[in-house]
Amino acid sequence: MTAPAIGDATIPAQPSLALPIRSPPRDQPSECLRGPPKVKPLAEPTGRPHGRAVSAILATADEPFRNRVRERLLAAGYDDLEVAELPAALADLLRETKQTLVIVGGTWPDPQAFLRVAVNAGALPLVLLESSALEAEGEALAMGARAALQSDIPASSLAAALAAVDAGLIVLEPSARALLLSANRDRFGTSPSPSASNSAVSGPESSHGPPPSRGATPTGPAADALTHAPRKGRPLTSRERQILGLVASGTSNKGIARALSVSANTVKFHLAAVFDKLNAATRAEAVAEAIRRGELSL
Amino acid sequence: MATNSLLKQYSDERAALVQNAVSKAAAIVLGRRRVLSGIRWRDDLIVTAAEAIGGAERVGIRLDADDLEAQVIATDLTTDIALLRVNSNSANTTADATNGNPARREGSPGATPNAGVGGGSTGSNLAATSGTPRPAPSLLRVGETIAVVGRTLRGPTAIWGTIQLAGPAWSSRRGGKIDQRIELAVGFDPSFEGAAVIDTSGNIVAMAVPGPYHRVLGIPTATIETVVAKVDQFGHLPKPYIGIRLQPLWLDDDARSRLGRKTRTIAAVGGVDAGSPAENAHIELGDLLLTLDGHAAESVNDMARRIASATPGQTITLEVLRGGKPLTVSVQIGERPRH
Repeated sequence: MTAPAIGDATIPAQPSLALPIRSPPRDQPSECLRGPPKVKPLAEPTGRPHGRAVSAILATADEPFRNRVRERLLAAGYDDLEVAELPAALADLLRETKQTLVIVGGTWPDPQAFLRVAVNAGALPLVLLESSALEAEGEALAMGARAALQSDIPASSLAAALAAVDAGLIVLEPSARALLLSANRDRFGTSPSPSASNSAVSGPESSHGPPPSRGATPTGPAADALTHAPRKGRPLTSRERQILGLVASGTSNKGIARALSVSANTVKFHLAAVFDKLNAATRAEAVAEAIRRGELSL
Repeated sequence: MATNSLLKQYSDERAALVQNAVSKAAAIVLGRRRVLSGIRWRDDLIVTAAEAIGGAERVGIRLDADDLEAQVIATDLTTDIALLRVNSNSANTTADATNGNPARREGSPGATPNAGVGGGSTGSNLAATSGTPRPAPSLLRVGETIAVVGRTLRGPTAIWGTIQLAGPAWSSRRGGKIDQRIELAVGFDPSFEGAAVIDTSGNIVAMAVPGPYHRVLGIPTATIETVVAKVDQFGHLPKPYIGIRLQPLWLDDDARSRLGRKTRTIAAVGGVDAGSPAENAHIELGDLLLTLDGHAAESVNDMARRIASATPGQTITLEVLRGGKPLTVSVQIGERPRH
């Protein structure tokens, strides 16, 4: 393939288009995978290249389970399901369809292999469990599941859960409150069960699955999965950018408040959002990161 | 016999050196719970760590036994240096009203810092009458013995340690140019942030600040002097600014060889601020930055560092690629708007 000439003067305002350039990798290559979830209306799922669309992927090797869940999903209006019977098939499907809603399930820990593939591909997996074990729910969340529910929930609840996960939320059973309130983090699967590393998992994933990315390792502490920070990585608002510019000029919070005719607390409120979005702990970090991201002028 | 003990002599000498520096140590009160240290650089001028100051505008100060208030007059996030000016007591309001040029006379250690403020020019013959020697200009050596001298509300604090690393000048990740890389091996706690580092002659050689990975960094005296000189000159600390937002673009092998670049990325102009020096110099959206003053502009970070270490008023030459053609632009560095 021949690259277009550099001296393409017809689009002087965007010479970058004339160069064979692609976006550089970010510090966290997984950002596009685990960043703010893409909120897509269910009615318009992203289609395959050749036009066929699916609304969710049902990934499980357990046939009776699959049939039961499929019935319920059909009843809930998800009539264009894709089914993956093997983790490798799920990886291929995720690549092809760009679909992010993945339902895995069965008797824990059987769904782990599918869950891991889904998380590594940046999908939003729902785990439907056959038994009501709190440990299993905790482990599933720790691995990156966006929902951990009993497999016998009504079709309407299942549809609501799918919509919620698609909107970027995490869905749990009422009984899982204990997980959230528990101070004992060990229950959240920080010490994964031996089955978490069984060979059936690593085989298809390493050969066919998408390349595992550093930030999306499925065995992070569940706290990560639960304290999901939706603001991280989002662009700054113009007000936030204005305030950060004043921070960079060395202005105090009160000075910023005076300059913008707002209260110092408002400034602090905006700065908290800025720090959150830029993943910064200090003013200096925030300024440096904003410059790196092209959000703040030099 | 005890008087001849080497250990006692050693201890006495260490204590005496610290004692001399204690008059330079300030406690800076940010809130009910956060107290850090500062260095009394000149009579009413305190140097401390910018990061800890955050967005504060006024802070409490304790010097010797006096509780005072200070105004934050400059914070440089790139070098982690903040300058505070001690507000005069009610008795000395007139002296302070003359826009507080640093006083030249050094009060005796027990005196209020503003006793004897005379206004006047911004001299550099500081501390001439004080027991504390002038800051040393020479480079520190690895292995030197140093002490960190700070202050808490409970009194002065000190700890002896070693220069663990003494490297060349470096640029901080935030773009600050720092005259020497200094890492200290000391038992550090947060109250030492902003404290004075003295050598075995009693000279203040650096300010101690926490660095990444629990390192303790020394910000050299020369770097502090540079910031102080700028504040003396402008009345505040002007932040160099040209008004472009940059985005890194990833170059593939073809583009790299075409452009003759070694680096994988190139900085592209993603925005030009209205009324900024860059706009006046006709830098345009989409320009790709090749060089700055003849140095290859390697990345956005590199550009940020180079611009951050420039001085407002200075003119820089940028070579940009626009529509595939190289173009040279001169930009006069301005000052980041402060409101």
